[in-house]
Amino acid sequence: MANSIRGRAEINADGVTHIRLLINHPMALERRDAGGQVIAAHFIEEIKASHNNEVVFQGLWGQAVSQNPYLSFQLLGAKKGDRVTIGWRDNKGESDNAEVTIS
Amino acid sequence: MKGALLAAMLCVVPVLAGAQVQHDYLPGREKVVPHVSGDEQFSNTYRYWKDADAVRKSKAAGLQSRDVNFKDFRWLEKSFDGEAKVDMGREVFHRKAKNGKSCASCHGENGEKLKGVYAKLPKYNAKAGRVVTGPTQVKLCAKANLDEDWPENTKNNSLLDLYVASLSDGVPVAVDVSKGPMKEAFEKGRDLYFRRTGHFHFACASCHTGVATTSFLRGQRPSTFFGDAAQYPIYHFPYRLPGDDVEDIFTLQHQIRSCQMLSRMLPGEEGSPSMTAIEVFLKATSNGYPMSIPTQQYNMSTDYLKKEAGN
Repeated sequence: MANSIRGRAEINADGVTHIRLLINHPMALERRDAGGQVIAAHFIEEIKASHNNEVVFQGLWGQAVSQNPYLSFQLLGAKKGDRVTIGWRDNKGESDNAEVTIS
Repeated sequence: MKGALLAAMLCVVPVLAGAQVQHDYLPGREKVVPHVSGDEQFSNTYRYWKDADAVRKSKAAGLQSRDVNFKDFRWLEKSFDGEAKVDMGREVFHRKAKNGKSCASCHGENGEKLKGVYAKLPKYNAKAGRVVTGPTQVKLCAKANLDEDWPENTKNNSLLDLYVASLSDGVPVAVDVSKGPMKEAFEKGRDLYFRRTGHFHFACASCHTGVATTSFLRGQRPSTFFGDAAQYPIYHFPYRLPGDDVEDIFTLQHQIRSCQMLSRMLPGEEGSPSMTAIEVFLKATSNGYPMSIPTQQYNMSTDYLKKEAGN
């Protein structure tokens, strides 16, 4: 389990998997410091979730998403014990990924 | 000239000081017992929410939130986002101060030696010579052992308070108020809770006893005081009061202060003796109720709306 992504994946009686993620990331806007110098923005540009080697969720984010984003989505066609892989990449080229097991 | 006027005023005060201040109390103080089952004398719904199991059974039987004194909100789910804050607290706990020590140096890795301690707080601190709550204990300990300055309601203090409380998750609250300073604090806190004060002439009990409980008040859902302290410090998203150093974590001291501000009372100082007394009262009237950390204030799930609409 990677450091920045915390996730839960739970399947309900109707076969719908609810996946909830909390990602630790500053998601900072471009801003100026006290001296007027520009501090570059630092935010996640792309986030992808895959299940059985198929991309099931993709997000293309911008500065508008705020710090430590919470993301949740639903997935059909999965079963208990399956693994969902989540990965993100930010505008500075950093990235992280994690695996969540459906319970 | 000014000195003479001041002296004249000071001479008048002793005469007035003899007069007793009359306080207005809401009824019910005499019914309070330091155990969560005491709610039977107030809302008489205790059997529907006495533990997580009872809550589940009540909801399955079709009882609405107002029928279970709104105690369902924090019990059915632990807070997912709150766990991130507990992790931050764990980080502070293990972080080394300038003198090379960390909280873990004395209290053990992952707070081994502090398991179950929070369920017994507040308690009398002999070194400090008074009853202290969690945040005050953190402040005193950090100053004495780490030489760190972490007053109540600052980021490190609140994170540590949440972390230490999480080590008591599931432990029933057990605050002893049978004798001594704790008993005095309990009785003082109980009186403060039922005493009207401030612009609106409200007491805490105005919203937390009687007809206001089991109703929707200003969009919120007040409940009687029994049991709720077992979920503090609580993850209260999204919430930040003016001057807060850390968002979303509400220690019980902070909650009392927040409530005071919202009902137009003069807010107390976190950790002060009277605020501590109120916390002793709140914690002791939750005796027997298992702690549940981290929970989220106002469960974000809106299932209850669908239920009440008859769907």
